[in-house]
Amino acid sequence: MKRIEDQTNSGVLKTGSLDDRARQDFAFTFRNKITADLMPANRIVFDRRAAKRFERSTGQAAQSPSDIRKAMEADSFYTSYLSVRRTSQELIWRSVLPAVDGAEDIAVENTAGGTLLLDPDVTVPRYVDALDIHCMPGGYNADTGSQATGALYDRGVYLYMSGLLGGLNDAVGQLASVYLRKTKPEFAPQRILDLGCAVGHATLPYVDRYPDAEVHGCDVGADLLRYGHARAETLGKTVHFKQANAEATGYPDAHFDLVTTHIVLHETSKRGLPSIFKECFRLLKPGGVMLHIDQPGFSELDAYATFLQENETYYNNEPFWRQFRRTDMVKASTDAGFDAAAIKTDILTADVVNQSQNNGQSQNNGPGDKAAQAKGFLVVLAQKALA
Amino acid sequence: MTRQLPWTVKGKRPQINEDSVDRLFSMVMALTSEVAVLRHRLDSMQKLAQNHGWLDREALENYLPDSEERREREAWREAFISRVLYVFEEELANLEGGESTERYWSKIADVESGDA
Repeated sequence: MKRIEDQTNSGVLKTGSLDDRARQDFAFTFRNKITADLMPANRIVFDRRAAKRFERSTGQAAQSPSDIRKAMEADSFYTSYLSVRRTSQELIWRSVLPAVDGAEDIAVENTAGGTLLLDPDVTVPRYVDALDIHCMPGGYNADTGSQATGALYDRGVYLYMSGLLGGLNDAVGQLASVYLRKTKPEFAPQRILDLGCAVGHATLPYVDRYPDAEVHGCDVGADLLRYGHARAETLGKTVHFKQANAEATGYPDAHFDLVTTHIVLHETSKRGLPSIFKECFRLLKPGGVMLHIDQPGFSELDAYATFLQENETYYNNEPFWRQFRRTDMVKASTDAGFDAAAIKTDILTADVVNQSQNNGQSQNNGPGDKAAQAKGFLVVLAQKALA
Repeated sequence: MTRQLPWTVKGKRPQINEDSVDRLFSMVMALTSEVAVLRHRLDSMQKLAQNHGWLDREALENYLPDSEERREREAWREAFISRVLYVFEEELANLEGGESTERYWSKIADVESGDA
């Protein structure tokens, strides 16, 4: 599944030369081809060959995710797939690097009136820095004194998600903000903060959805924020960007009506996640709303899907992915101070969700559909008590 | 252009198949990418040439580059081969960065246990 439409040029997007663009086109098609053809073929390999081999050699059926992993690791179709899959990830970033690394920043007028506040002394949590997450060279927090990492991320994510994030890579922000609007039609936040905002892909939709609100974004990556600020200005969206750690943002208590994260939490840690939830609680005014959207919990009913999903931790530098998907978000919310009765969770499905999880196209057959529930994005919405 | 970002990935590159096989997969796919790049450039040029009546097929077949063009082509081929052999650069960076499978998994353990 893919969407062959050019990425929208926000004014700061860099795609490089004719050959760079051809390399990016190749990386796009290659990644999609693997997701659409090779990845699902592994299920056939498992059913017809690997599972039988495992059963013959152990006397037991491969039932748990770790059994399935053992069974599959003995099959060269699967290991070849893994090797090609890893290569496709590396080639995405390598197709973009020549266009962005060392390139001049595009000068931008501050026409939208947004701001950028950098803090060279920001504390970068180790979960951000320990590995280059999803194999992006330099990681999120590389600081080249330019917009390079932001430009790398903007183009790379578009290619990685096969265009399904939309021309502005904003499908997740659209999904979450539309959900919020639908779920709480009376809610009119005056001040909004998007934690781990990166270049603001998911932040900008809130400017449109809540035109009267003051919209803020924070992240630890200086390059990301320089690019995000320039991008927001050229797109005419007023956003206030600040370099800060989501666990200790430095904003005053009870400063925001809405605090959000978008596919950020799965890149934190067992220590970091509860700490971010506590920071959300601290930052919210009474009656304010915390909204997270991210990968859902694993389904115990689908061991094969869990096995395949855990590959993100094994082979794609996603250190927290497999544990995040076993983390109880409702408990994390109550532990941070939210009342259990004021917490709501839902599963949202969209093409972009399937692509992010390497799923085939999945159908959602309503609230009872367990398979769909493991394949949508989880939203957690919690309201801080009024008094 | 001076590189300001690293182009290699921090975190041990997983060994999936036998080492040489993993390298070969990566080289073949990087090479395939370069073939696609070439095909697209050629296609663009042919379309433009046809549209403008520029292309003299016989002159094309008999074309010989001069010495400056030969130097340019040599530099291009060096960069080209580096792209195909990128996976060796990854492995060297792992070695130089002291990366190991143990270290990769100890970082995962730190994240999962709450030490990170």
